[in-house]
Amino acid sequence: MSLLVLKHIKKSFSTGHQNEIQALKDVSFSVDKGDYVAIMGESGAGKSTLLNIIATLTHPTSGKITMNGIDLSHLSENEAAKFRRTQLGFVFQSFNLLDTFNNRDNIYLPLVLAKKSPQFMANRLAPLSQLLGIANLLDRQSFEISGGQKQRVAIARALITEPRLLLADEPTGALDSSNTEKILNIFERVNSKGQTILMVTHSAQAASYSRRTLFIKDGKIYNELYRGDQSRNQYLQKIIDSLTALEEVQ
Amino acid sequence: MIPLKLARHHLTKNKTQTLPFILSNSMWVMITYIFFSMIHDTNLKAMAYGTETDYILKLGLVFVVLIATLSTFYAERLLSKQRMQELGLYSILGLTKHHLRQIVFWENILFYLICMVIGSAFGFAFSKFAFMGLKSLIGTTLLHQTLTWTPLLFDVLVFAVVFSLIILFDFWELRKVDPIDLWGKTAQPEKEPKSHLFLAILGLIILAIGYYISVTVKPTQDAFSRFIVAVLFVVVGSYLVFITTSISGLKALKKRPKYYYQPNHFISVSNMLYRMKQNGAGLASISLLCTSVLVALTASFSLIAGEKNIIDFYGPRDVQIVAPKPLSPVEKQHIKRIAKQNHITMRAPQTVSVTTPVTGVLIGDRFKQNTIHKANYVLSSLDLKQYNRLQRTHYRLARDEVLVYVSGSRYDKQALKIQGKRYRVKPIAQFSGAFAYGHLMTFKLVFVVAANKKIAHEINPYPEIYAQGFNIAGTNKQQKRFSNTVQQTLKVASENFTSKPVVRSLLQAIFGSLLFMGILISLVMICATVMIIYYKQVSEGYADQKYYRVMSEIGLSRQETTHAIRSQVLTVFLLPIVGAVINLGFALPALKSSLSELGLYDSKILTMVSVILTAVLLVSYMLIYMATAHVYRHIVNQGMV
Repeated sequence: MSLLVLKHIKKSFSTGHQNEIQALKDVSFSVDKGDYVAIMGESGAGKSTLLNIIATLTHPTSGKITMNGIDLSHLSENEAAKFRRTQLGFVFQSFNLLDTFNNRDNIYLPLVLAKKSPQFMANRLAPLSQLLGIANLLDRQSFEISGGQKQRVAIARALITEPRLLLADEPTGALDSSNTEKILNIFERVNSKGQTILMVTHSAQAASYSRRTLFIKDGKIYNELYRGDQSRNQYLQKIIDSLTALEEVQ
Repeated sequence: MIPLKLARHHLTKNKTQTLPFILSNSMWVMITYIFFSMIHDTNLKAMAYGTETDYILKLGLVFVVLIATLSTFYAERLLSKQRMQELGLYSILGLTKHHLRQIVFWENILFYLICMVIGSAFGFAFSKFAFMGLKSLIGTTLLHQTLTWTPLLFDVLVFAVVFSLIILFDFWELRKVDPIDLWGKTAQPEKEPKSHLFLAILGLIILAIGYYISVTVKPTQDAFSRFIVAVLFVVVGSYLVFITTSISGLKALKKRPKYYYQPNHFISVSNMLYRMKQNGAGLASISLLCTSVLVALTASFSLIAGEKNIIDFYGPRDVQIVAPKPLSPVEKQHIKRIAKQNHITMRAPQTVSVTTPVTGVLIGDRFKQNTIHKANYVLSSLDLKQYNRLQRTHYRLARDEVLVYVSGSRYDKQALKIQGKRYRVKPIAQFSGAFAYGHLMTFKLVFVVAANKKIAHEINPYPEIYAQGFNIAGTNKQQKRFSNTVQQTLKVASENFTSKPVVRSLLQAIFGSLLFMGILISLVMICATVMIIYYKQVSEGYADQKYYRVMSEIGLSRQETTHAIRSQVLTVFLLPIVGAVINLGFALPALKSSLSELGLYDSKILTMVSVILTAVLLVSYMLIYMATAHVYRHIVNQGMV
């Protein structure tokens, strides 16, 4: 069953003087429950705009986007905020942890906003901190830990609400290779437990952990790859081939 | 010249930050100019009591320059993070430290020039206006103003020193860090503040001691010095409380999960912890500035409002001579002659004879004689016959009965024990013969009316004195000349001679210049407060940018985030004003005692004036807050997606 459905999504920005930039021209695709989708493309291809629309941070100019049957195209600001709070989890390239909280409170933040009891939050956090290997970091401040650790704390914050969809924006963009691998392994494990993930990335390596990769160019979906039964290396090779082909199309 | 260009670029590009700086500094240049102009361009010193006024003005001037310098430094410090980042960028782009120093130098030179031009222009224009204000407050027509270059010269020099200090300070900030640090200074997050329990408790104790001293100050001669001690305690206590007690309190709240993990508390407690660390000193300063505005204005307005009460305290008649015996016929002739010469008409003569007052204290219903430094009452006695004649009453008293009059209050005890005897008391509210013997304004006057002269002497055995007075009519000038001539001709010592017209001009000169200074200083402090609040909003805005972004991604609408942060920022901004009102509340008793030193006993006036001023301050504070809040919103919105 499709969790997220995008139909003919268009997004244009006016830059004054009647000039319009079309960031997304006609994008349609859907994401099934339990899927792990990577979206690849060059800078300026429209990846971020697409992510912002799915994240309800901005509205599409036209087209329809639904998640779990809810129409996201016309949510008011307050409805959108509530939707994000209850249905989505975010992981960013720059972690976006708040310095005024320690790591535990950073993770608790969305649950506190949802008015959950301290006991409830502690129960949710315990298995998660085991899974992510951050149990011994919880009482430290976010700026006292390394980038890889920060990202794991940020993932905990995204997952603690048990969101329907985890959105990741270049989650490994600021990490070294060993930390990148750790994070990608975590994503894979989380997905295998049923978590739906949608990830925007530059990195073919990151995309190779997904079940499906969408290639976007000039505001359109250009190509689509499924991993199926392939090994990760085979899948990675196909992704790289596809990227090369994408570059040659002018 | 590239550094000069970059400096000019900074000035024009960051208008939201440079304009308030220019405005507030121009304001200080202007007010300093006015002070200098009042001191140098007027014949103030030559006036009667001019030396006192001159002294008060000079004190005010020092204070203004101090406040101006301190708040400028404070604002510089608030903005230096942002500024260092920008300079760090220049440095990475290849400018040397030398260049950076040049930029900072030129920036401050430009600031200085702009502020001097604006400030002195307005100072020049307003000094005329201020002069008229001072003149009417002091109540003299002899004061005049001749415009010279001297005030301008002094003004230019004083602020040259201030700006040189700022330049040195900025150089020092540049020296401390190397380019890579510069670049990252804003990004470097702050550690969670530590709780200093000992200092926190110490702060509360010191504040409590200050309040205690203030509340228990007795209206004796050392009231004012005790008030100063109380002020010192409150200043130190306020800083400690704002910086450490607040943090300890918040930390304690954080340790209670049931309280802490609620949406509003969660955000505000954690954020306040950091804000208090950065802002504790600033908030304490705002609080103390507001307190001093309130106290200074309350004191000076109360004195002006209570001037008539004070003058009446001197005695019942316009002119009064106190002597050990009644005026002789020759002396009376002299007075009549001088009155005629000065076109003065005399009316309502009155003579009261009382025993020479003794100083002492009232313990319960017992009057204990005491040395002048440990006393707060003076007591004298008179016989019933005189009292009934003066008041047109028909009291009758037994031998062990007395009437007791206490100035400014009512004697509420059943009896009075004095000189080893006990008298039953009938309190009285009126005594039209009451006067302050020897112009001792610090004491409450007690007059005891006994059945006859013999008993009056048992109550107070000292010899009788005669207070002889009359009212006069004529112009103010004639009245003063008449008074002075009478005093000189009859050779009356000044403590035994009272002339209300003379007293009035003295009080007007002193109170008038006090109020004048109070208003100018309040203007400066309000300006300093506005500047601090403004730059606080700016720096908080930058600090909160990221907060808003993350919150919106996590699923808090902008409205909700705004609500959460604003309510908390508002709390932080309201703390100082709450502190100021509490401080004022505790300062009132000491203020009352100190003012009674000057003869003002009416606490109703004091209370009313302080309530009105507090209301005015509250309203203007909120207006300032709201006016500066949009700057904050603007900065925060810049950081949004």
